[in-house]
Amino acid sequence: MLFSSLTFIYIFLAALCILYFPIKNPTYRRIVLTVFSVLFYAWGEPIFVLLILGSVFVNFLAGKLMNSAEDKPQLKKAYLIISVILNLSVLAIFKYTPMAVETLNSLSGTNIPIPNITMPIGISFYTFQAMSYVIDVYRKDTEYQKSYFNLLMYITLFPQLIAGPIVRYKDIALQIPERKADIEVINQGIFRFCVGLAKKVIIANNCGSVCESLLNNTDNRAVFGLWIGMVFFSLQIYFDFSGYSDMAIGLGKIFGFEFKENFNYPYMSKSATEFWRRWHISLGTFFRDYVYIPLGGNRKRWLFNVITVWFLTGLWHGASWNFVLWGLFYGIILIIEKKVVFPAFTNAPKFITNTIAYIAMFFITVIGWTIFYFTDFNELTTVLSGMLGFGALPITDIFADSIIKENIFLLIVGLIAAFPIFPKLFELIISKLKIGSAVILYAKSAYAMLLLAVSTALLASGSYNPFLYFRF
Amino acid sequence: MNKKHNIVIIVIFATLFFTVSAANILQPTRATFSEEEKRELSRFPEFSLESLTNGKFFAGIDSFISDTFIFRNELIQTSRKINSLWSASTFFGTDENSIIFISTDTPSIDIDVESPLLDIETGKDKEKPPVQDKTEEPTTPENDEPTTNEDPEDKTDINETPKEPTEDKTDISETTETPPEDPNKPEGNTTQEPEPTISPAVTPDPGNDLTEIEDPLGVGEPEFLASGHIIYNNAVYSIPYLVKSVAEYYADVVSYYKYLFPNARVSTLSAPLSSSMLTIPSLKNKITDQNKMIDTINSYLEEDINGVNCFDEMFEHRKEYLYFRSDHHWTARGAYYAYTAFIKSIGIDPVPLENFKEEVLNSSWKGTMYGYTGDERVKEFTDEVYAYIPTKKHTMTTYNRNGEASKYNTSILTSYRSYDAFLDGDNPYTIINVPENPNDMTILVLKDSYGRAMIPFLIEHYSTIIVVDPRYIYFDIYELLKDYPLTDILFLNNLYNPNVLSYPKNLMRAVGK
Repeated sequence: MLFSSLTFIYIFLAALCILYFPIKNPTYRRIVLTVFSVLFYAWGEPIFVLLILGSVFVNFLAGKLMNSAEDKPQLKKAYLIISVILNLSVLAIFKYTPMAVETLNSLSGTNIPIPNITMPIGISFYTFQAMSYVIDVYRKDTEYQKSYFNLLMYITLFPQLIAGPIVRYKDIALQIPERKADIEVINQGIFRFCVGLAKKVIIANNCGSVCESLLNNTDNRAVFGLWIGMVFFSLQIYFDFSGYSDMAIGLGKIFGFEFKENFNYPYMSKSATEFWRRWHISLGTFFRDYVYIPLGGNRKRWLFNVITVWFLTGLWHGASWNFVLWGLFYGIILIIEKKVVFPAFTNAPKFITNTIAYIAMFFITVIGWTIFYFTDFNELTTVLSGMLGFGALPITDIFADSIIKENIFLLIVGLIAAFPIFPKLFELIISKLKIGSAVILYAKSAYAMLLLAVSTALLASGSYNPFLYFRF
Repeated sequence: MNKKHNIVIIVIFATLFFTVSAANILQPTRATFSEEEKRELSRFPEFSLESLTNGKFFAGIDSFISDTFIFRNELIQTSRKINSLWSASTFFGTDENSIIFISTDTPSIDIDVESPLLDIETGKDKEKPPVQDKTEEPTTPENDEPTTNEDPEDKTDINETPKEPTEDKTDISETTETPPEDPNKPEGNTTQEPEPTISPAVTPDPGNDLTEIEDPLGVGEPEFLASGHIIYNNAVYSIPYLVKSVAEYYADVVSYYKYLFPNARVSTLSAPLSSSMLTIPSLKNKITDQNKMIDTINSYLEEDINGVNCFDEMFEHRKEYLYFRSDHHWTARGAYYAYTAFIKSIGIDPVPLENFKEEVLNSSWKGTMYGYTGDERVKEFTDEVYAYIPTKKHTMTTYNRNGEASKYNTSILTSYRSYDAFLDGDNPYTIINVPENPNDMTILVLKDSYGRAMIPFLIEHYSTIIVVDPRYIYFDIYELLKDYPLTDILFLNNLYNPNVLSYPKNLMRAVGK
């Protein structure tokens, strides 16, 4: 099931609230949340729901066994290694097999048929969450979870199951048994959810159709059209992903969970290093805590560690080599920044360094997303060379002009909303006019309701499907 | 202090939210058909172990909820207005010369479909002649004479036919329910109205969804139509795209019909869409060259098929009102020029347009384009619907999707005041009889909705016109017509349909495959 669907909002969520809130018994509430979460997953994956149930069981067992092997460090380590391998194998098999076979074929000339494996939704997220659990238990950063059911609730919790953020077990271990329902927090959660929904439905989805029109028409490409198309894609992916995280955090708040922020206006970054502290924060910290630091961090073989982490970061994003290229692209830029750029910039005037930084980041981000978007290498090189002026493409053409004019205000709204312009503006107005907190509260909730109404209208039109040419 | 306000807020929000939820779940009646989209709205899906495990049950619930959401039509209207806010034209207006692309869906799928010619012995060389030669050949065949009906033994002996005729009524526009079994009336002499011997002997089975293949690729999704649309000068223009593998399949299906009906002359005419008539310099090489596309599709046809390209005839008259502004169809005038191309290609002189009486069916008609595009600007476009009344007396019998027959003494039902006037909309099967034309001029037309505007012009030449819509036909036309003396077979469709797999698949379905 998706958050951005009428069924989820008006049927699933409504039913869940009606069952959850009236009865305060913590065990009952945990059961309701877990059952609804499993149903939420099964809705999109009626068969693979068994996979996730099994995966949780394996990890649960690992936690329990590690706890009983407290005094036998070798055995404890063995349990950890086995469970991590099992988690990664499941991920490898269901996500990366087609890619592996294709690569093998092209490298060794074999012609093994590519197996038709559909990737279960959310597998990249929940296997990482499961691994964070067993590793944290091993490191004794957290107590092991005695109840399979509670561990199941942690892993399948529907707010973050499908699209993150990657929630560490230790961050919410204490919230699992029982949570106090605070009306103020619930309202904040509702507001957050409505904002996230609007980001996805109003901005991201529309930007998605525009960039498809600008980028996929292979016979009619123009330089300007490609650049603006990639700007639209940059907006789409940001609003889509951060919108989903907003909805996850909002839903978490409604049911008493505090999840950490996952995005922090990433396009404000003045360097790629900063970008990765503002974009998909939970993934960055995961790789830092579970790969980079165990490998030695910046203490030994730093270069190797950085390249490994970025290779894996890219690979995590998708089962195709262009994603790996994208990860390495950032890895190399990070290395250059650390070794060359930052030392050079330390004594330079801020005005100059900031200007250079923002311009450079624009190009880095857009080129990065271009590598991310085109999974076919031939198409990628064609498009990149076109964008950089080496292909024989016209500067602009009638398609690009028309599509951009048709969506100019979407572009403007998207660009403004990608930066904290309006929040800062409102903060200023509020403090200057000394607007009371009650007024702010009502204004915010009216705004949330407006966003929800508009999103509902757009979702309704998503089902509009004229069968024109086939019937009349 | 804030706590009080938070409670007020949550109460207001919860009331609104749960009211909407409850209204959706507890609706006493739900909409079942969308007039604007012209489709059935989803019903609650059937539950079964299979539908549960393959995900269709849950997906079905999603469709059901969104299709029957309360105030859906109003919400769709609102979202159109919201989406119109993104465009510069909403605030700054458009001038007549601005070109606006409102969709550009280009094909990117590879379709693997087996030719119907593979398992028949045609005695023809399956290897097609080189493409480049074909496109240089003239599109009119060298042979000016009809090549069928030379053998008198081919004519159906009336005493042997098992087919049942309809009742001989000549009432004006009264629909008649004619039972399929009627006593066989003897054929009179040629001055009387001839008895149709080609009425269907079956009625469609209501429970059996014989009509329309919607998912020819079996991928669980409706078929993708490669298309684009432009708004220019207060009209919508459509752009088709070639999908080579499907167009080749279409060509093979046409050849298959030639194999089934070896004595008929087989022709195809794919009608170009409105954007083909645009001559704006900045569009040159940017949108499909439909003239070339028709030639390309014709090049896939085998040598003995008459592939007509009506582009030149229409283009010469492009400044005339050939296409509707607010609808995806051509006008009767546009269809007229295509008719001239076809009729000339089989060696007959076209009847001049002035010979027909011109009637205005509607002077402010709004067609399908607003419903299809959902674009607020298109809402304002209007059209005039002209019809050119055939000069010869004729009757038309239509068989609708329930198998009910209706008989008319005209083929253009002027009371409809829309494109539906032509042949009473898209019916599965229609027979037009023109007594004063020679008996040996008969034609089977396999058509989509574009065909309807052109068929009335054929009344000037043929004594019997059998019209089949492959999308809705509910019986095997080969079984019905295999012994009937057909002079001509014409595949008459818009330029989309040779590229839409369900269309040629439906043509195969029409002959029992």
